[in-house]
Amino acid sequence: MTKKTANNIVAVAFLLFFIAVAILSTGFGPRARLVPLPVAIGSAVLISFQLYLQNTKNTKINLAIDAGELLFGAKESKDSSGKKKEKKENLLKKELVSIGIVVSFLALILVIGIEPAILVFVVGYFRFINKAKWWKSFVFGIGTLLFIHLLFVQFLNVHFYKGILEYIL
Amino acid sequence: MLTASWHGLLALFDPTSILFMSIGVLFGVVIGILPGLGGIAAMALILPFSLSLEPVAALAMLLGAHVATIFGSSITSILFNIPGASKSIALCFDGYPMTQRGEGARALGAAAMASLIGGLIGAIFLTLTLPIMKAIMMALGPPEYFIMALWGLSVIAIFSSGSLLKGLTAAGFGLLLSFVGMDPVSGTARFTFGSLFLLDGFDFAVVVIGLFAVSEMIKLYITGGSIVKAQTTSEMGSVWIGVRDVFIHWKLVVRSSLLGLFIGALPGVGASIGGIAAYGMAAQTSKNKETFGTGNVEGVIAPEATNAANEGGGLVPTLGFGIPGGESMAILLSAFIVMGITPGRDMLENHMDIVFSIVWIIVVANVITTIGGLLLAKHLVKVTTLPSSVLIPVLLPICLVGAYAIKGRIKDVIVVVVFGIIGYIMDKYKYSRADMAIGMVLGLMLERYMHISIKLYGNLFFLTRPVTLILFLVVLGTIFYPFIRGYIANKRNADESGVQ
Repeated sequence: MTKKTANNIVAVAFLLFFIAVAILSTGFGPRARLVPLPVAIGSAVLISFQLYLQNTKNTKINLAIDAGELLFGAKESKDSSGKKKEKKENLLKKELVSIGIVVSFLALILVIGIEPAILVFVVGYFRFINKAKWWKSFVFGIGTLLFIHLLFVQFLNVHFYKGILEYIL
Repeated sequence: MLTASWHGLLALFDPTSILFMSIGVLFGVVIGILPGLGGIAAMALILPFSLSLEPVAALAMLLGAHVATIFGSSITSILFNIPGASKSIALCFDGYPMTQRGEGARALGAAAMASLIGGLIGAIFLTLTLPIMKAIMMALGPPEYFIMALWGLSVIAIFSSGSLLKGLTAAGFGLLLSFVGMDPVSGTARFTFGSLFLLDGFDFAVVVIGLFAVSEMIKLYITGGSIVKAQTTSEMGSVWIGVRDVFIHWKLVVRSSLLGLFIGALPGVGASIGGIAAYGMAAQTSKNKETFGTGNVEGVIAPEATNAANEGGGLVPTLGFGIPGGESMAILLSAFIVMGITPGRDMLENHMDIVFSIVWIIVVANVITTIGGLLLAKHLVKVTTLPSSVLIPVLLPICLVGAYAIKGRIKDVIVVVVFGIIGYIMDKYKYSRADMAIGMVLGLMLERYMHISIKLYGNLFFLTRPVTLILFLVVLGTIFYPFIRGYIANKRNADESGVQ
C-alpha cells in the first residue's frame, strides 16, 4: 500500500465519520443539532478539500541528481525500492504487533481482571518479547503489580475490576 | 490588612501546619504524576483526612496537595508525553520533544521555576484584587465566555504546522466527540446509541491518556530505543539552564500568569483552557514561533506559569463570593462549610487571617514544590534513558489503570485503548492530536454559552454588548495579527531591497 493510498484511507474514514454524524444530527431537535450539524458539515467539506488536494497536487520534481545514480540508476533504484518495500513491510508488521499487544492486554483485563492481567502482561512481555529469563520476568511482573497495587488499591482506595470470569465462575 | 497578613503567616508557621502542608505537597506530587489524576482527585482524596485538623493545618494540607499536583503532572507530560492531568496537556507539545532531544532536565527546571513565579503572582493578585474583582466578574457573562472559547479555537492555526486543513479536521473531530452524551441545553441524548456509558460523554482525561500516552507506547515499540534520542548537556547544568530560561523570558511569564489568573477567576471555565490559551499566546508572540511543537522552552514556560497562577485566580470567586472557580475549588468550598466558615462577605470581614493564611500557603507550597522539583529533576530525567523494552511493560499498565481509576469504569479502559490507536494513526498521518484535544475541551463550553447568549441577547449577541464586541475584536486581532505582521515585514524587506 502506497503512502498516498494510506493517506486517502484515513481521510475517507474521517469523511465517513463526519457524514454519519451529520446524518445522525438531523434526527435531533433544532436546539440539539444547532452546533453539531454545522460542525459536521463544515468538517466534511474541509476533509473533502483535503482529499482533493492530496490527489491532485503535483509532486515536486527532485533536481538534485547524483552522478552515480544517473549511471547506474536502474539497478540502484531497483535495489533501493526493494529495500524500501522490505522496510515498509517491516513497519507494517511492527505496527500490527504493537497494536496487537495493546489490544491483547485490554482483552486480558476484560477477561481475568486488572491485577492478574498486569502480572500476565508484564511477565509475558519480558519473557517473550524481551527474551528475558523466567525468573527475571517474574521479578519485573511482581514488582510492577506490587507498585500498582500499593499506589491504587492501598493508597488511593480504588476497587479494581475483577474480570468477566468472576461473574461466570 | 498588614496585621491580618502577619497573623495569617504566624498561623501557617505552626509546626503542625508545616508538617501537614509537606504531607499534602508530597501527596500532590504523587497524584499529579499518575495519569489522568490531578488537583481535583488530590483534594477529594485528602479531604476526609483534613476535616479533623485545625482550619489552617487542614487548608495547608488541601491547598499544598492541590498546588503540588501542577508540577507533578508536568513531570510526566514533559518526560513521557503522558499528561498527569488534563490541564497539563499543553506541556506535552514542547516539553516532550525537549526530552527526546536530551533536554528533559532543562524543561523540568523551566517548568518548576515558571510554576513558582506563576504561583507567586497568583498569590499577590489574590491579595490585591479581592475587593475589586466583583465588578470585573459582573461585567462578564455568557457571551464573553463564548468569545473566549472562540479565541481558544483560534490557537488551532498555530498547531497546524503541516496542513491547516488537517488541523481543522482534527479540531472538528474533537468538537464532535465533545457532543457525545446528554445535551445540557435540550436534554437530548446525542450519539449515544442507547448506551448508558456514553450518556455521560467521553471523559476528557481518559481520551487524552489514550491520544498521547497509549499512542506513544505504540510508537515507542515500533521505533525501539529509549525516549531520549540525544543527550546534549549534563543533567544538572540543564536544570539551571531551564531556570535561567524563565528569567530570560520574564515578560512571557508575567503575561502567562496574568492570563492564568483571569481564566482562573472565571467560574466554570476549565483550567485546561488556560494552558492551551497560554501556549497559543506564547507561540503567537514568540520570535521563534516556527520552533513551537519541536521543543521550544517558551512552550513549557507559558502553560506552566498559567496553570500555577490559575490557582490564585480560582480562589478569588471562591473566597470573595462563595462561587467556586472550578471543581477543585468546589471541594475547598465544602471544606470551608464543614469548618464553619462561610466564604463571601463574612469571610472577608471576620476571617481575613484565614484568607491571608491561604495566600501564604500558596506561596510556601510553591516554594517547597519548586525546591523539591529542582533537586529531583536530574534523577527523574534518567528514567527517560531506559530502553522501550522496560518502559512499555511498566508504563502501559499504569496508563490503563490510571484511566480506570478516574471514575472506576472498566469501559474507560476500552476508550483509552481505542483513542490510543486513533492517536497513533492521527500522529502518523499528521492530523494534529493537540487540535483534537482543543476541540474537545472547547466544544461543550462553546455550545453552552452560545445557547445561553442567543436566548438572552438574540442572534447577534456578539455585536450588541460592548464588552463582547471588544473581546470579539481581540479574537480577530489574535487570528490576523501574525498575517498582518508578516505582510508588514515582507513589505519592509521589499522596500529595503528596492532602495538598495
